[in-house]
Amino acid sequence: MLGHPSFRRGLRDGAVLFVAVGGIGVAYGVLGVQAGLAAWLVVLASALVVSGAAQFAWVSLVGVGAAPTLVAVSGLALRHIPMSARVASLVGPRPLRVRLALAWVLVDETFGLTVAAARRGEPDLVAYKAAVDLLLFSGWVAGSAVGVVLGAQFDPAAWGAEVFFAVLFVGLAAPLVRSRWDLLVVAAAIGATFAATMLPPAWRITAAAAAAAAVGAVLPDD
Amino acid sequence: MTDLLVVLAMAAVTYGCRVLFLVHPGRTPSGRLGLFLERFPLALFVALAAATLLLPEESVDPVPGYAALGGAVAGGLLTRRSLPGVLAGGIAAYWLARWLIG
Repeated sequence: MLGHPSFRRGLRDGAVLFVAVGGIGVAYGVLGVQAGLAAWLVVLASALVVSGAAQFAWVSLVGVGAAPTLVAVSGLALRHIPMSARVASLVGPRPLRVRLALAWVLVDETFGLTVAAARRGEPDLVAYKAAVDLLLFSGWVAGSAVGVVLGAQFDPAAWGAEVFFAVLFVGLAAPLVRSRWDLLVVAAAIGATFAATMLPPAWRITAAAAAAAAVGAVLPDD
Repeated sequence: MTDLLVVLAMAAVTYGCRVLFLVHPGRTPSGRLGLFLERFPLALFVALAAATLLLPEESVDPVPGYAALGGAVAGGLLTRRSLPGVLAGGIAAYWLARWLIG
């Protein structure tokens, strides 16, 4: 696997994710211990959940109770369903164990790189995504561990962690704009994001993305 | 113990959504649903970026976020929309704006 050309390209493309997501992981780890959670649990969550949005929501809702946390996490997790369908259509028939593994690190960033790789004709998407997944997962867990060690000595907002994440999403969106119709989807997504401020925070992104994609579904495909 | 159960439940909900279609291969959506899924990634990434850069919390100065967005777009245009180019442009513009604002 390590010598596979698609895997090597995945390592090359995923290197930036290791750094970017690792930095966000540090911020998450710091906030987790500052919220009073056990350090081991903060890191374990990174390995099991592998979702920055869900884990930040969890940390921010510590003390509120399990039910609000799970409602928020469910709202955030819904956006993975269309991703799952898209990746399934891209990789085609594969053994069950491979499909189960592909789902483990199916997050915004690995999804974006996988879709972009498919568009440029990557011959083995499973090997490519495995490499990207490996780097994101290790960066996320390692960053979380560093964050819990740094603990209260560090202020993530001071170095703009949130903006770094947002710019990463601009970078993932950029190669997906291929026509003027896609620009309309971009405009719809921005408008829907503003409109979604009326909704509970956990549902805003999912609702805005779904609304803009629904606009895209009635536009021509060229 | 409760915190551990919450983490396990979060993992189950998240993984369940991720694996839903992957355990049913061969059901490739077409038509409007296919187009919806085709354009969902773009819509999602734009919404995620806009939520932070265009709608910052009230306590946060919005100018560095706007600068980051402008820098990211400029970086993308200058480097044929490469991810490192977008990141470099966005982060450089963000820090420049913070430095200028003081």
